[in-house]
Amino acid sequence: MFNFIARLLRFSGKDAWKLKASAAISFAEGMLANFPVYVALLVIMKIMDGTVTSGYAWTAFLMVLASLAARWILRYSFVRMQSDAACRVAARERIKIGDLFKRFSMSYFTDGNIGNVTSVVTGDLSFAEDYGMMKLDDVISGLVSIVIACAFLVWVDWRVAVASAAGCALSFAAFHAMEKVSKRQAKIRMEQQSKITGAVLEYTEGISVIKALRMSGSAAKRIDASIDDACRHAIDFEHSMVKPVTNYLHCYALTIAAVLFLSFWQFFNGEMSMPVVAMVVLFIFRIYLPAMGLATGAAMMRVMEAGLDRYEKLKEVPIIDADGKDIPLNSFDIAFEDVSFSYEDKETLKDISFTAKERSMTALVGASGSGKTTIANLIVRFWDAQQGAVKIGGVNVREMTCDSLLRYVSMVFQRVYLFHDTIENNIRFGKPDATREEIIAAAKKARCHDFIEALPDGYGTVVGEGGSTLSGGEKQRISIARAILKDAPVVLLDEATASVDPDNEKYIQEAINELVRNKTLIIIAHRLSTIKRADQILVIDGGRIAERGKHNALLAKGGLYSNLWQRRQKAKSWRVTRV
Amino acid sequence: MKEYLRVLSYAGDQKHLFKKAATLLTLSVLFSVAPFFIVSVVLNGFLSDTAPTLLWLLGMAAAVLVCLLLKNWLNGAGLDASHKLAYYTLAGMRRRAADKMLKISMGDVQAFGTGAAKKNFVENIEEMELILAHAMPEGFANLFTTGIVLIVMFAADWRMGLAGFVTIIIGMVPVFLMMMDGMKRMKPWYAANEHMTSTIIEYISGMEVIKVFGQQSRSFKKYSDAAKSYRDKTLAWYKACFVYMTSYAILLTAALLLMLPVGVWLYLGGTLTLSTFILSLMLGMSVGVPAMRLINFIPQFPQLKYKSSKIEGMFEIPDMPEGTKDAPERHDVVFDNVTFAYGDTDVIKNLSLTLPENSVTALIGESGAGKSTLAKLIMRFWDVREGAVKLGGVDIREIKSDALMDRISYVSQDNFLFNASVIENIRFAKPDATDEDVIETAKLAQCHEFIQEMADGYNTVVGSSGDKLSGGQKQRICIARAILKDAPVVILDEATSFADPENEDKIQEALSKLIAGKTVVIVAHRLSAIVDADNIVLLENGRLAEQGKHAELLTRSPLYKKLWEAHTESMDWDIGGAEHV
Repeated sequence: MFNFIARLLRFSGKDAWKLKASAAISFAEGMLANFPVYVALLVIMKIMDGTVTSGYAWTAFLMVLASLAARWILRYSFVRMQSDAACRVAARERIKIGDLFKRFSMSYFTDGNIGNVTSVVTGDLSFAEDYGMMKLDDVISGLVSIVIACAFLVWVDWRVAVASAAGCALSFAAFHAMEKVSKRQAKIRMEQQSKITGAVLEYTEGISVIKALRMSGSAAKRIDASIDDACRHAIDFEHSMVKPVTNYLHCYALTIAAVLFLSFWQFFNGEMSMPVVAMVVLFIFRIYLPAMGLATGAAMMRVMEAGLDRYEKLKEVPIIDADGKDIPLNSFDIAFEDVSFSYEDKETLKDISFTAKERSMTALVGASGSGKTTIANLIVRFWDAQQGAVKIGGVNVREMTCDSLLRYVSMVFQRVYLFHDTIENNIRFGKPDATREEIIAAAKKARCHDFIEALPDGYGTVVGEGGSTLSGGEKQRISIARAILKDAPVVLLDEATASVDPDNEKYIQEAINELVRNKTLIIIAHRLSTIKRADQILVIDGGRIAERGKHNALLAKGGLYSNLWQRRQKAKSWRVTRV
Repeated sequence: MKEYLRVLSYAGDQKHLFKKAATLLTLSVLFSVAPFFIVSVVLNGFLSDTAPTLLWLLGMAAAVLVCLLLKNWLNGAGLDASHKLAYYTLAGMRRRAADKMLKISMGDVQAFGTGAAKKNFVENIEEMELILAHAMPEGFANLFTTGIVLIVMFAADWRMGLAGFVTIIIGMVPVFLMMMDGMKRMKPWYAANEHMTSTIIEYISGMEVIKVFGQQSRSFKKYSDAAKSYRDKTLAWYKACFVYMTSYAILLTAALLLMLPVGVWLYLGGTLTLSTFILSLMLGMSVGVPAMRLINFIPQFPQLKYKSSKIEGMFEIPDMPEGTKDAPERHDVVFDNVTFAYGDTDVIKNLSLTLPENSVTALIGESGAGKSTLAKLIMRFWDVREGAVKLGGVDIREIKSDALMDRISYVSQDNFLFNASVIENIRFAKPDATDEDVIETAKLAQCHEFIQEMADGYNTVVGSSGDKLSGGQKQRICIARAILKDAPVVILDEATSFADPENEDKIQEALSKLIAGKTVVIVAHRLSAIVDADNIVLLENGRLAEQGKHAELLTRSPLYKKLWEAHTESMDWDIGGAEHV
């Protein structure tokens, strides 16, 4: 727990003092909250020695009122300070990590990672913001209350204090046991959570297949079993916590009973005065409350710790271009020199060497998984090759920052991402200072001008989250317009494999022709007919270049390429016929 | 509260746990205040003339201990019961949602958006968990505590009780003010929160594009502005609320403010004993904290209402009416003057079409013409608005849905596999198929080879988690499933596309096996694939524009000719063509 507080303070950086100060003020406020009890005690003493008057009622009232006013000021200032720190720290960390994202390798942003990262920045950080820092005073006052209780009781009577200290020591042991159980259970619980989420996702995504295959019965059984499983585990989890939490609270029950008995006994022996007994009685039931609250606080801390762990792990993601420089390029030929690359211990590329001359077209073909996409990825430093060098215009890409490298490269992916913004701004993304005329010109080249104009708000139409209001072919053309506007000398193109309507298809092809004109083009080709005129075709097989040359030469050779070609021709001429 | 009880009905036969939890928690509270009375009795004994014995004192202390232990134990058992109740409720909701998805039409599932359905089924129910399983049990514990302590306080001495109650009533004023004022200010905060979340998501999802276009600094500025604006809005909201929050936090715990002077007067008036005075003070001091927690708990109710209404929105979608007839013997499909609207826009208009048994019908048209919708109507993805779709002369709405599904195989680009082994994935189509049957089918669907190359062969688990299958391989497994199902009607919805161009020939071979001898409907983009179809149906804006064989359409329909030319051009397209030198 102390570690956790220290970690939180470290995490808070320059705002840590606010948290410390607010914890101190919160403590003072907590102490002041006991002030009315002292007043009550004074009243009781007056009553007992018979000197109480009705005027004293007013005095008591005013004293309590004054303490409430003071508490108001203290409390207001510490909650303000605490929330101020929490919000500032969270905003600062969000910005810091956002800044870091820019420098992560592009290979980092896979679908799975995108989900994780998003939930860390929105979920985990918000939890720390709302619960961790805002409730820090609860945790601290819980701890401090134990010290106060013991100190107070020392003042009352040393025997009573010893009893209290022993009780608290016992409670620490119980707390530790409680932590152990919850740590173990929390892990199981998390696994169960992701299991039910997975099961539910599968069910939702597969619902039409489930219906089509008449699997309603078995699928319903499957999902019901998962639901019941999750339910049982959640109940088990809560149930497993009941005993340790109860044990923890029992420690304080024992302490309270012991303190009461000892005080009564001291009074009975005449070693304690009545007002002191009254004071013990008034205090003892409330003094351990903050410490008892730690039982729930501890669970919260664990959730937050897990979140902080995830967050800090993000900060450790290696940055690929940390030592790169901003190097201007003058020529744009691409060269691979004996490049080998392994991914997760699996050799994906082996001794790849080739040169793509400036303004030439190089096509990469091969089966899925052959390594053709990896070659394209190495050019833009998604990853770095372990051996050999990848050069653009004679400069090793490793010497460049990704930003400076990407200035010269346009990429058209299979996955099209449009921002939740106007079409105009989405295209402008290719060149922020573009005039409207330039944007329209690019849109015309990408064959999207006509359909954009036909939209109710034209270029001002806002595309939905992820660009969902447009058809796939239209989105693709907008992304090509963006690349045309950028006008980079090198183009990496991953030929789309998704099927679109014939009318759309034709437009996309025209758009691509506009994009690649006079560029150094590297294309990952799937259809082969697309690349008949390539200056060189590299046939990749098992991470090596198996064949290279022009279309006709490769066909004549009768090797891998001609085999692929023939299969493609057969596929192309396939017709649905009735047998 | 009404909301809560209604939500609890999902717990079904476990609903009784509510009573159990409430009883246990109430008893627990009673045992937590009982020691005050015991102590007051002891003090009374001290103050009276008869001196108590040590044994009696020991007994009293033991009684306090027993009360406190019972309180802890009852509290644990009560929370345990209420957690159980919560999780049974959640499970009930999940089951209900799962069941509902089976009963509504696929079109509704889709319209609801698989995304939205997912959000409902997964996220909303999970968020309910936070409220139901954590906020509610503890909230109710606080409600009981506050109520019971107040009652006991009045019972101990009603005048002292009243004195303590007055400050609580005054404390409710800032609570009320905050509800009025603070909730108003919550809106901009909520908007800023949503804005920040969507900006973060966009920033991260779009990072690839951002980097490719070197727009880091501009996008980052947008991102950091959103983070800052959220911070400022949050602080502004807090600033507005903190005056109220501080005020009620202080007032609710200030019972002694009036109880002390009133106690003094009553004592002086001779109508209050010292021990009752102290007892009242103890009770007064213990009512504040639970009352405060109770206030913090109140906002959970609108939250619960909001979240549950979102989930129940799904429950309110009408079930698809179930037919009663068995499937007919014949398997021709007839569209009889069908009109279908998706929302308010007509997608299919007055369309009549016959698909004879054992024929191949191709549906073509420009994007948005309604090809795919028409094909899906055969499977009752939706029900038509006017007219009827008939299978073997029977309106499909009158056929039992299982029987209808039995007659149709549907293959699309969306190749869904379950997180199960390959063999199970294929066998789902026909649970009683033998291993040999499955392997035979896999061979027909051209997947036997690659399945055998996988680590565990047919027992390799595929699906959502970490699958290494290519799109084309998944597609062939789906085709194998359809072959095994052997339904007389086959719908290929854009299944002939380039999902895996390197293995397209194999996919095609598999498809050829699938459609042999069936009533086939093909939604096709690649027109060259369907030139031999028995009937090519050209759709235009949801209407049937033309139908006929390829050669006829080519001469008769300018639209078909245009599409055909676009297609042949794109099939032969090569990059650069004349331009790239």
